[in-house]
Amino acid sequence: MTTHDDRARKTGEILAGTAVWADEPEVLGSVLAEIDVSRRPRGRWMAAAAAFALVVAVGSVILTRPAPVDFTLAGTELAPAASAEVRLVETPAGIVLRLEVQGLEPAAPGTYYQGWVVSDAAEVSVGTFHMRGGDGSVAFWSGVAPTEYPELIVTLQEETAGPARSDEVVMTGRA
Amino acid sequence: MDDLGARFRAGDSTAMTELYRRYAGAVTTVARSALWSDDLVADAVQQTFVKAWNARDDFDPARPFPPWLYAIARRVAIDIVRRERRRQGPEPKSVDLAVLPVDLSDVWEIFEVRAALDELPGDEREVLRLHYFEGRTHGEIAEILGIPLGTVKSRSHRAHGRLSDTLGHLVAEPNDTRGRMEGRA
Repeated sequence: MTTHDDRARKTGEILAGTAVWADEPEVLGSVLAEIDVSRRPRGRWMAAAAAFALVVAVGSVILTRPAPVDFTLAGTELAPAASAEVRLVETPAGIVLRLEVQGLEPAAPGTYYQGWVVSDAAEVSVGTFHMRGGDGSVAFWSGVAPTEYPELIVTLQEETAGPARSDEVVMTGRA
Repeated sequence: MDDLGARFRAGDSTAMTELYRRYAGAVTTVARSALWSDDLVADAVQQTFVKAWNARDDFDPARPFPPWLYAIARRVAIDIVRRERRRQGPEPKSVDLAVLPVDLSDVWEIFEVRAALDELPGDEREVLRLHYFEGRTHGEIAEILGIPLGTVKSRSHRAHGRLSDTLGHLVAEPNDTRGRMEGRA
């Protein structure tokens, strides 16, 4: 039978170990994106996307907060087989852009893919990935509104080439 | 848990966010006990919360949430170990994977303690981390944080009291000597 003193001693041992102090990964956005996808009826997504597209097309309404939208990315001539479905999820910390990527070749050693959201005047990096495990999900984080930065592009970057966006665009799409 | 468990079961995603913030660290301790890379740990933590969400109909809000979540986290970690072993084949390429002992016998206690630590105010938690994890004396902690020694002692005392309240047993304050790093150069 475990006694009170045994538990106190055990707790002291745990506090003195490394396991209890392990750094937690930052996956809240991915969790929220996944559970959001799993619970949201597809019809609602499409309706929201259609409403948003209409607003963008008319161009006469200024949105004060990002609307829920989804859209697709198409491969460029550098990656013609690539495509991705994009879903946007608002969280208290920012916007999660969840991509379901298909047909994009794994980035070669020394290179990686990078996502950028783009407006008429600026572009903002939203994260990097490599796809070396095959088709699957990628979660980007954005601190800027998709209504202001409606274009999403993915570039192939060289690890030694610095942080600037390369001209090698492999996928592109627009909300 | 107040009504948090009920909100979670009802499908309120804001409740999921609160539960994640409260228990992600504790879930990480389970994953870290069985898995050997940051990527696998991140995968396990993500899977645990997604599976919990998908199984929320099975959660009884009248019962405590942590043991239910812990059971999912443990199962996810074991499944990932098995998956990685299958992926490596009969002759694992990774030495770590070949010899990995999956001993989760003490992990529930670690989960409990971590959950309690994550409920502490940040300044009190930091005093405990510096003392236990880095092996600092109270005097050294005072220097590191730029606060009076008495403040370090009072934060340490309060932190141990809160842990005792949360864990249901007295967590003895150690003597102000080196912690786990005692004897190190």
